[in-house]
Amino acid sequence: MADTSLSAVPALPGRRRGLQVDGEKILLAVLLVYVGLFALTPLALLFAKAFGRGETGEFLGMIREQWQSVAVQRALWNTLKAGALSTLISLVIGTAMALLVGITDIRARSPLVFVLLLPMLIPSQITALAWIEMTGPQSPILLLLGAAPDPGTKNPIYSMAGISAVMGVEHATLVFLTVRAGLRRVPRDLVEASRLAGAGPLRSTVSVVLPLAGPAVLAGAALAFVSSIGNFGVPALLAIPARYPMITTLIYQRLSGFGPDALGSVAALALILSVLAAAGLTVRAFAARRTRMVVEATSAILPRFQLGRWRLPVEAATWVLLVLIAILPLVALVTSSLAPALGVPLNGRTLTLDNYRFALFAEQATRRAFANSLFLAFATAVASGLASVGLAYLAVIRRSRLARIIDLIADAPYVIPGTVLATGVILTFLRPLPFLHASIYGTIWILLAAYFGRFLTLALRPTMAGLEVMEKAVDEAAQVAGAGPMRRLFSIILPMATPAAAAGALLIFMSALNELTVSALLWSTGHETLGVMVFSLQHEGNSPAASALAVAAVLVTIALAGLLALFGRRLPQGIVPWQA
Amino acid sequence: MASVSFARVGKAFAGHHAVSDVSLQVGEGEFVALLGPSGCGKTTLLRMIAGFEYPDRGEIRIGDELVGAPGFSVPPERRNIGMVFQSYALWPHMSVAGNVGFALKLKHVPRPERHRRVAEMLELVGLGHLGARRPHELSGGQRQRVALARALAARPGVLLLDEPLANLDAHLREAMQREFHRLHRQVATTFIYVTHDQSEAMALADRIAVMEAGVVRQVARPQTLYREPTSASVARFIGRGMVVPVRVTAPAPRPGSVMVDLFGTPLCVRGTAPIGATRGVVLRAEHLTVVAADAPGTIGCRVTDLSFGGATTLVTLMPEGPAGDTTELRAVASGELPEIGQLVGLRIDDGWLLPEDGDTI
Repeated sequence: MADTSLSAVPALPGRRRGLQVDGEKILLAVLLVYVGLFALTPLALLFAKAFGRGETGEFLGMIREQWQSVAVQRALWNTLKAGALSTLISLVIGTAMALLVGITDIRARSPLVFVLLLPMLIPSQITALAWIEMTGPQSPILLLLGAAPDPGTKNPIYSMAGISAVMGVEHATLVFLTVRAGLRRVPRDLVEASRLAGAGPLRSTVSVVLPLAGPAVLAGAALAFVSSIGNFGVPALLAIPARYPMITTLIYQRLSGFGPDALGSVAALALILSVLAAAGLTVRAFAARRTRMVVEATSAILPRFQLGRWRLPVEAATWVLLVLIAILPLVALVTSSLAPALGVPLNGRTLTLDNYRFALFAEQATRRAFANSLFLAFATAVASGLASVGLAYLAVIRRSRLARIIDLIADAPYVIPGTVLATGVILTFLRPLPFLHASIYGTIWILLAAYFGRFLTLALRPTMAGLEVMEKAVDEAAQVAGAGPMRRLFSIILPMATPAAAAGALLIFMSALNELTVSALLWSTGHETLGVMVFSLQHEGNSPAASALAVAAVLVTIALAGLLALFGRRLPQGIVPWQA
Repeated sequence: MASVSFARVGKAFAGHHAVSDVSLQVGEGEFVALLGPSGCGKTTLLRMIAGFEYPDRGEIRIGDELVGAPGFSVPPERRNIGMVFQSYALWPHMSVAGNVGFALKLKHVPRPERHRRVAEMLELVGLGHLGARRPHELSGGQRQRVALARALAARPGVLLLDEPLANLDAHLREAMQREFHRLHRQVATTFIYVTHDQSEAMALADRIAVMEAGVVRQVARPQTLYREPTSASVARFIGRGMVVPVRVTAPAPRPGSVMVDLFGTPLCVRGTAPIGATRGVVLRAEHLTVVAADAPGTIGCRVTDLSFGGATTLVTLMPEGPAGDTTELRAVASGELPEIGQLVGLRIDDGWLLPEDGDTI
């Protein structure tokens, strides 16, 4: 079969000359360019650069130079240390919470899950900012308790332990979600059999549930590790002031200090980061395969063990922990955004909305950032949503092998650390574009290009899942009715895939609106984004304004999440991530 | 309406022969059922007519036009066929009328004409009042009717039906069977109907193609299939026929019949064969009667099981004899029933001698 990519049914030439088939080819070509330009080329160029010769022309010089540099070794060691410690924290919190929610009769499960999932809604840099406000000398909460560090002393959050704690709490959600999904696959009969064999709830959990959920725990930990070594928002706000260099912040500092001249060394750093991420993802893939091997899906969920007289103490401890790690930082963020200036105690008389006025209306750069981020998020969401439907149609319904490959590639820009992608995007778009004879580096378009690559998969996953469960006969029926491939895409597939694609697009909008990691390396004056603005304001020392902007951004995100939750009720399970 | 023909068609999936060497002619306006157990290749055959699959070998024609051959396939959308899917596959985002009118829209039928045709089709299936509904607001039987109306709206040359009744309750199934009958007479289109249910195929089809393991075993009218199967497998599949080896002993007084030796008892059966040949004879439970043990011309048997089935009871018997035969026979009995373990006589009222190449026994 010469042309399996387009149609499962090859036909003689002459038979398939017609508008419909051409439309399908054009669609495939557009998608190929989309993924080629925004995903494949940046990564390919990055690796080519990283594996290139160094300044002295030595074979693999670039990577050798970096590998031997003391600064890089220190950053790598720091990254690994903070990554390991934060993974441990995520693992403990995430697994404990998944067990409590999954297999005990703890009450108020829904609010519990909502609080646990908050980090998915709040971008890293804002979480970091909130923790700074909570633990610093100005902390309204610590002041209230009389436990604030003395004014003028260093905020304890600016340390390796602080960085790890914030990342650990943030990524606990990933472990929680993975383990909870793993627990759902443990067949109820196995637990019941162990109970009949004489094991108590605790013994059953330790001897049966945990071993069976083990691969899921491992997968969650691997995911948390990959996320923490690639995290930029937390290190940007905590590690830079702490003078604790990590790989992501080193990349940022080199690029913002030396500009494109540093691209070679940065590419090598990005490669090191990618190798770490790839190792983590390999562990995760291995563990995920193990979870699938354990058992086929069962209908009955695990029986809930009774906590008995321990129920109240356990519930109290859980909520104290959650309030401490998830609620109080946000409270601190809000109070700090309402304070008139740094160091002025907040009370009924000093409370002010001036910071909001400044951040949202007075300061031109933040207004621009709002506009830029809204534009970028909207354009990325719409483009990704449409591309997803087209790609999913070709891959799932039309069984195009090429589309399947494009689908695989589309994942890469999202799973690799954002700094890596951003470096690749600079390498790709630094040169003047053909036909245009101008480079988009230093314009808003390079941000859009990076976002297109970064976020496509967030819309693609739900759309693919939606079409996979859709009955193929629905497409075949339209075919029998006389509709060609493109006609079916618009009349049948698009309307049916819209809910899933729209949910994905909304998810992209939320993520892109607060994007920092990629933007931090690509923004330029006049082309700031919201995430960059929060970061810069904090760096300039205007933390009340940074807090106000962060609060505004979080409110917009939560409103969008509400919209998505409404939407989600009508979607198949598993498309909206925080749905139980 | 259009005829459909398969000429030595073969199709393999990953080395497995789903269909091998099938030749079949379906006449214009005929109602043909493809009947066989699951995995016999009947659905593959149907999907090759539709154009969702294409043959590795042989040729498929609709009317005079070649539509499928190795490496060649007219896309489904240009075959002018209708299809009713097992799951109905109604488009959930369109109204009932939208579903029925879609094919007409694609053919650029002007709007007034389209509305008229849609109304006419819905009327035809008895759903004239439901055009504005969405598929999910309908019952299973109503969805089935919409699927039929949709498949027939563009006046296809051939209507393909893929197990259309599999998802319906028993009582609805009967009603829909009558409906298919009526529609076939009314619309005068060629119907090709895939099913694994022989009573459905017998009740509906002009001719039945019995399939097994990718091969068409026999194509015949339902009555012929029942009375004169050409192979042991068809005999067993249709009406649970029993196949017993016999030796032809003498010509019979009636034309078209021969005398055979069955468990040592002479028996007159339909069919022809040279004297001395060994063949299989097809017996049916409804032609076997349990009588007193010593009745003349009967086969002595021991009752091994009784299975109550309402009006009649199925009696399982083991012939007594020096051969120590292990062939089980079934007879239908009503009224006075024998007891398990009892010795009885078995009277055989009809039998059919398989032709020479009637495959293995």
